[in-house]
Amino acid sequence: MSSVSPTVFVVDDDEPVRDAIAMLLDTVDIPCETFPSAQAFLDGYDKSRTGCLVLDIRMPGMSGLELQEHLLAQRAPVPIIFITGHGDIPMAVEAMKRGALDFIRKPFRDQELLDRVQEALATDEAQRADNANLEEMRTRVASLTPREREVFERVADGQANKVVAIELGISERTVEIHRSQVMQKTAARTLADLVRIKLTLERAET
Amino acid sequence: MTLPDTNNLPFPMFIANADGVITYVNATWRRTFGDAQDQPWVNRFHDLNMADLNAQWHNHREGERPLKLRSRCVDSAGLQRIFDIHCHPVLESENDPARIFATLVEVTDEVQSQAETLAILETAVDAIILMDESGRIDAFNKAASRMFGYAPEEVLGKPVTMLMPEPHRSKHEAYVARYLATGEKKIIGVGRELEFLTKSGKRTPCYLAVSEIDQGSRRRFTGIIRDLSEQQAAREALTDLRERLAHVGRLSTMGEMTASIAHEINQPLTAISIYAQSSLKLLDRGDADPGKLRNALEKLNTQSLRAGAIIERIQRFARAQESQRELAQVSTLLTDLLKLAESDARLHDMQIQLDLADDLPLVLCDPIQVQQVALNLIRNAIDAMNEIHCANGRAIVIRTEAVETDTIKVSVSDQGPGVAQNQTDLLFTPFHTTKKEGMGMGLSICRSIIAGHGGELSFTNNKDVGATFYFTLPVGAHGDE
Repeated sequence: MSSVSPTVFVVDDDEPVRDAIAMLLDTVDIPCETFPSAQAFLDGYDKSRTGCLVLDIRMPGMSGLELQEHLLAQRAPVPIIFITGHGDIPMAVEAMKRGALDFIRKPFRDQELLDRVQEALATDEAQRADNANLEEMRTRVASLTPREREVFERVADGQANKVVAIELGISERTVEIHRSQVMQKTAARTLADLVRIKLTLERAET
Repeated sequence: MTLPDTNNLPFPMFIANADGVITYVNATWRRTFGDAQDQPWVNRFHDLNMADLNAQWHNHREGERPLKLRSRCVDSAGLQRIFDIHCHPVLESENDPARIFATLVEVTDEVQSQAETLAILETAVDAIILMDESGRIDAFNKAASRMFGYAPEEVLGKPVTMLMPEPHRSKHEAYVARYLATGEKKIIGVGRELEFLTKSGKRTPCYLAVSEIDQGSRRRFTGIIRDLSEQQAAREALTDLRERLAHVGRLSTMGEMTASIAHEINQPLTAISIYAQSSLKLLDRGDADPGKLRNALEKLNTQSLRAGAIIERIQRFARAQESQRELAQVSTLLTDLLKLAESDARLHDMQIQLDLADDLPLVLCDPIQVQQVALNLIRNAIDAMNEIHCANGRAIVIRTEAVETDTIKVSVSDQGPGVAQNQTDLLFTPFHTTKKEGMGMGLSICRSIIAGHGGELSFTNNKDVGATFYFTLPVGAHGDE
């Protein structure tokens, strides 16, 4: 993760609109960078940078929708706020289906954009925190021995120690020892923690 | 008095006594009329009677010149002929009643041809005016009376300039003088359109043909004048119709472009709104940097001017206005048009490429109408490419070039599906359309506009993909309007 503070990336082919948005963000001290085209943004994009994207949906060359497509393909999780014009509602709906945070129509009230931007930055932060958590969970679960892993799967599924012992053909006492190892290695304090870890990882896989 | 031998004279002659009784005729008379001795000579002629004649003769005898009478008579073969009778008094002494010595000159052919000429003149549909060398009116036919509102007696002998409006009225004398001096014909034998002035002071468009009649030392001129009021009214009606049609076409185009126009205007409005709101925010914070505020206001102003310019451009295009012909550089017109056309192309993510010759000769045209035609062709190109989702490409090329020395060609090439074989004949038919929306009037209006400029509008399918629509305009020349 980069140490630079979250940045709003503004991509619009219309220079004055770009400039005006940059000025607005500046008045509320939100760092911002502007790009005249989707390609210009992609060329210098660093996936690790935090922030959000304010994106004109209709641009010559690569359109806003196409840029969204590229970012999805790169598994870049940056939240996108689309700026749309008069007749762009069908495109905006399409963008939302693909996971855009929101769209706002030109012209718009300053607070409308600023609220969305704040929301997007919060979303980005939460997403990144979630992602960081997930990574940690993965690492911890990966450190389990094969036997510990078997115990983890079953206990987190709600099986009693006795049932696990019979299924694995080991003593109940041995299950207890493995189970306490699992709790330690996954930093779970309760059985509920263990269940949440398993579900979170399962959801992340699909 | 002894007479010379009158028998060899080629014309009839007679001598009558003071009572009007013929006492002598020559051989030619006898051959023409038979013997007539001892008869009153007046009886031979239909249009004469003794009483009138005596009165005329009495008044006349003091004079030197012969009395000339014109009369019809029937010759010995029974044919009616016309003669001028030249009567000379023959005095034996001071107090003697005069005898008459008369010679007859036949004018049958001349009178007949004059009558024919007059009949032709009077039944002619065109006004015919005869003038002498100094421009005075010698003859003025019925059609001329009808056209100008003057009776012949009101104009005969008067200068023909009374029928001309300024500036020709003042210049006419100089025109004639120049012709008489140089023999250089500006109008004689050529004919031209100009205006005449009627008695009521109305200017009437006419076609004037002048010819010169060479009568030896005397020169005369005839002017034949055709009233062009009706033709002109018809022409004006056609022009008017064309203009209204062109205007309807422009309005309809603007209507179809609403989306791209709205988008185009929305851009500066968005920027204006954000600059204004940002400035307010700065002020609300209470520590507004005047430099920042000033910068924002300047940019805001620039954007409002930009929005104004867009509206001005649209308004200029949509306005109903009389056709104004001016000498214009077509490449410049197309560069101007690009701003309007590009918003539409941008909306469909297409590019317009210009390939404009910059040294084209000027064209006399209505700039808005020429732009209208080009815009229509560009929009058709966009629609064609949209139809196949730009499968062949996204570029529209606008080209201008000089063809030969007197024609300019403007072409719009697309990368659409091209024109299908079965559409080629229907393409310019009014109300025929291949599009889901649209009246089907676009191309026929365009063709009418270009025809009004004396040019041609057509198309070809490209060798690789798409079609090229093009129109031509004659260099610096008037159209048929």
